[in-house]
Amino acid sequence: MIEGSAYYFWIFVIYLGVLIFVNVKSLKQASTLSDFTTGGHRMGLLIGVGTSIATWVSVASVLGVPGFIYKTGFAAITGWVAGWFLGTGLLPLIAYKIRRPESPPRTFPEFVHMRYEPFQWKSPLHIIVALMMFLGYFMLSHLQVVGFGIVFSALTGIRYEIAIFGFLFFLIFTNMGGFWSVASTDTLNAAIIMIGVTFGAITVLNETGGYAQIVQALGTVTAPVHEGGAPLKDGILLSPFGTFGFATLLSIFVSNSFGSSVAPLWVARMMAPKNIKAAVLQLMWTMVFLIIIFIPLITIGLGAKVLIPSLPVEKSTDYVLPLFIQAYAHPFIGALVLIGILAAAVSTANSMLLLSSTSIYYDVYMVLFPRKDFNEIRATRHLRIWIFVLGVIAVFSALNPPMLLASGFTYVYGGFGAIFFWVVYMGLYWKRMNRAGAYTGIIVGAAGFIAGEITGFSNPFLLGIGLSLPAVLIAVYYTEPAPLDAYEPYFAEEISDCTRLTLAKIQRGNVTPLVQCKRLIDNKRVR
Amino acid sequence: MIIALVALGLCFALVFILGAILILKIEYSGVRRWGATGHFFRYEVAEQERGDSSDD
Repeated sequence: MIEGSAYYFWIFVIYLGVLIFVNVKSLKQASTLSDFTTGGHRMGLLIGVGTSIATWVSVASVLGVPGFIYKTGFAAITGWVAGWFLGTGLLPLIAYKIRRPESPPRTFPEFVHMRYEPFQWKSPLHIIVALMMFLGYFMLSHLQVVGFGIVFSALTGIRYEIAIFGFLFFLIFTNMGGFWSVASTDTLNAAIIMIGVTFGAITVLNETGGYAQIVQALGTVTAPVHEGGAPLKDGILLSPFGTFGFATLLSIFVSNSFGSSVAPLWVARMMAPKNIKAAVLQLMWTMVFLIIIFIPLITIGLGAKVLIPSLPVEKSTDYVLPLFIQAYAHPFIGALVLIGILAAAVSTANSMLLLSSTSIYYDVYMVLFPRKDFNEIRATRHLRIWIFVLGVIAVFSALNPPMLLASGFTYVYGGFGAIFFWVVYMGLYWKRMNRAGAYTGIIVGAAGFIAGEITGFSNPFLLGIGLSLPAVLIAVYYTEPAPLDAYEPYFAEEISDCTRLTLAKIQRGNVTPLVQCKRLIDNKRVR
Repeated sequence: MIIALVALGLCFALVFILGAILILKIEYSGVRRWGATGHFFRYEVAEQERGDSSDD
């Protein structure tokens, strides 16, 4: 155990106790599959804000942002933090449409199914999107486990390779109640993150003498990121574009902003509030609290560069915050900050594991092998098992972490952005957008993004959406427009009985062929 | 440094501008299922309520 272990121990025990209490309470809320996956579309404002903050503030932000700021200075604010904020700023546009239907989809792939292939019983698009989500979110879960390991190791003094197994303990408590369990834990975690990072920033300001001193010092600091490395250019840490240059930083900014606004995680989150207004208000309040969290994080990153000019060679920049805490903070504050980071890792990882397991079980397995005797309790039990199995795999995969935390998020959010950008925005705002357009958008967007990454193109996300836009338009205009069932729920206040029947059949797992309704609808297609 | 902070501030402000416009649109629609309360545009909500009761 490290110095001041009594503080660490007792704060950790109190946190665990409250966490277990909150989760046991929330278990009662998850009685149906819809409750388990999206909270039954009845989430209120307070818990909605709590869960949004805690999901938003991941290890990539709590460890990655101070680390990136330590390494690149203000460029990290322009590229990452401002990009993520813009992405959140665009989310009300998604919330305004996605929460309109009387019975919203339970998952993102189900939304794609309803919007683009409402008459297909086994929708290939549903399965393709679910598999992509599974891969992307499993990778992000893995990154959260890496972050958890770093913090848990610093908190307890246990070796990283052993510390990551502690994640499974948290997983059992935070995921067994599904969405309600995740949301309740997140609300508690959000409060802890806020308190922790605020205390961390106060410590930085005390140690450095304030913002003016930090800025003054950063203007002259040339110490390399790692001991023995190449020195930094004078004043580079105060440059808004840093060592990246304008084009590269714009690429990072655009990927983080537009990419994250269509991330399936957030589209799915916007289905959970009790109505559209609650969803929009949830985002506005979330942003208020995010700025309360990010100002301290930025302060910690900048101040750490002044206090610890270079890192030991074996430590990546993700270790900046734990190293600073151990070196400068009072054990009580150190314990609060580290518990806050732990909370960020747990809350984001459990959301992502819930999404991964829902994708693979509900959106792939249950679509491929539908059962006539569909049973909600059994499905929920299976989902719990999937979450735990994926959690175990995520822990083993984290034994050898391959990349920096914030960079991993940029790849996944950039990729999702390139693939789903037109599928989501055009699907919600353009009636004519159809199945052919969705397939084209996904295939060309993915191909463009991958090609951009392989060839080292400065903006793979922009390449993906730039190539897919004309391709989608050509596909849409050369094929039949979308049927009324597909777009009506997102445009009309009241939907027709036939549309209601079609969507209900997709959601209820009814294997009756949808021929009758299709015949009716064929007569009223919009030209 | 200033450019980075201004970019951050503008991105921060966007959610409030967009959110306020959309909430007004929801209120104006008068659809209670979407969250309209009738506090700003009472007439529309009252109309809808009359419509609901006549359907019953």
